[in-house]
Amino acid sequence: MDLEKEVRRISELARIKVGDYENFSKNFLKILDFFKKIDELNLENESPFFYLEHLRTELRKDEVKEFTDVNLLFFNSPEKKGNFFVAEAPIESD
Amino acid sequence: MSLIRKIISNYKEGNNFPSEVLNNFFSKAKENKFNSFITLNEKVFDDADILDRKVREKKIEGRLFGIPISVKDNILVKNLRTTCASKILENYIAPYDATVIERIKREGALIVGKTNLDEFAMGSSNEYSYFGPAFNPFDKERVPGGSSGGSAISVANDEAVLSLGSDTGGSVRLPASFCGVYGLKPTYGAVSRYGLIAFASSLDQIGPFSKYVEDLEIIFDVIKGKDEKDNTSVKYPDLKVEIGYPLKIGVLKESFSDKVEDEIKEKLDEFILFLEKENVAKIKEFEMESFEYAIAVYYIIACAEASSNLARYDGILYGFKKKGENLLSMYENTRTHGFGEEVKRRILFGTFVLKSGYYEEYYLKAQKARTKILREFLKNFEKFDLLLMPVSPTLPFKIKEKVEDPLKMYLSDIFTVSVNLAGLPAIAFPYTFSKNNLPIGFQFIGKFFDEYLFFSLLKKIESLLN
Repeated sequence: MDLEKEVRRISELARIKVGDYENFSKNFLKILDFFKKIDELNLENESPFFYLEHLRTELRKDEVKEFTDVNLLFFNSPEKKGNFFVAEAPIESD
Repeated sequence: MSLIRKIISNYKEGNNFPSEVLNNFFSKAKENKFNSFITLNEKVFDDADILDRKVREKKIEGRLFGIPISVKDNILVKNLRTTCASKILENYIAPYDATVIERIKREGALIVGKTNLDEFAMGSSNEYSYFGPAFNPFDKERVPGGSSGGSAISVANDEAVLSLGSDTGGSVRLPASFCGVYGLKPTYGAVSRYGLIAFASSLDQIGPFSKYVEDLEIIFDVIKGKDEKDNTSVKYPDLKVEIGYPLKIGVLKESFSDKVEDEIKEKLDEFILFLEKENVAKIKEFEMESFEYAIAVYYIIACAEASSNLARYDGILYGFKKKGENLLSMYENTRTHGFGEEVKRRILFGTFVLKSGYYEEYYLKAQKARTKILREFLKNFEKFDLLLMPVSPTLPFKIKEKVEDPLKMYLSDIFTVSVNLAGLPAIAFPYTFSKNNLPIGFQFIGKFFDEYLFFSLLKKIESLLN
């Protein structure tokens, strides 16, 4: 695999740019190699969900609770207009 | 010994007022000698005035009445800034109280302020903070441990009686151990996570710090239990703790490996002899095949969950925003400039291990290994009541010693992460000091909901050691 190409692709997916892709990829590989260590474990008969079995999730009642303090939703927003969040247009205009 | 009971009985006898006690702790917090606080709660004196009046009227009620408490800056306290030690939340004001905060406020707690941490709780040294590193109160050239470094310091340095932190892979226990205080990582689900800013939701638990084990029990009593706002929280079972001494305690074989510093091994040996001599426990070594794989398993799962949880920081709903030509470039600008290096590294790892083509190779295998780790723990609990091991393989290390090498930093968590993967409870406790006067602590690991067994046992050990 071309790791630097892969790192560029995940950086696109995560919406995060990396300063020096070559150097970052080298360090990335070091840690990936370390992660590969788990291949030594015999995991043939293990379930990926067993660790959750002691938890019994109870769902709460599906009841509507009125929420009126609209300002609470907006006061941390970096840009707003009335009761709308402002964002750049997702499609290019011609 | 309980500092909480002592303070409250002083209120009852009219020796002190809450605002006086608060002032003692608050003024030390304000000095901020070890950079333990990001934000102080200046308005807390108004709350103390109300409690002063109650003391005069002899209406002292609440299990934490007039007790100064600090809170890690990834737990929401209404109307206070909550930064997660990140530029991306530098000016974020919490619009509501976390459930744990609601519960401690109801019992009369006074919130001193918000404590320093590694950005988004990702780190083991408190060096990855946008607000600068925190320093070990026993040696300012060393780290306090992380990620809840500020919380541990605030308790060790009498800036608060108690603190609330969070433990995803050791983030309560490691700083507790490096700063010489108690730190509890509760059973997964024992404490509500509502209002805790998510890092890795299947591993995160809120846990308290204190100087005395009895105080840890008092605050755990207050914060534990089912919360309908967090459906992974559970009703804490009504268990009676009856301990038959000597307990059967297993000590992990790797505690004595060459990866662990000699002084820690010597003191652990000494502690084991002490437990046996006092007939508190019979101790035998145990092995765990999965132990040495736990770090890899942990970082795969934690990064995967973080990459998903931190997708919400997009510059639109809240937090830092850096404009761009279009929506995509705004996202990229905001996230590239808003997050620190370690957070970005972990988001990218998480994105990688979840990407199609790699998912089976990394994430799925890690989940299966997680099952194996829990299974091995449960097998050992057929033979032992509790397990014992160090919290850290090293004494508190020097600032900048590991910060450039992420893998080296990750290995600081070798003794702590497997507990989070299994969802079990563990408690870090202070034992002694090294030749250079640095704290040395160990941890007990229990079965699900063994918190009260920890408290009983450690109260006995605390009284024997004094």
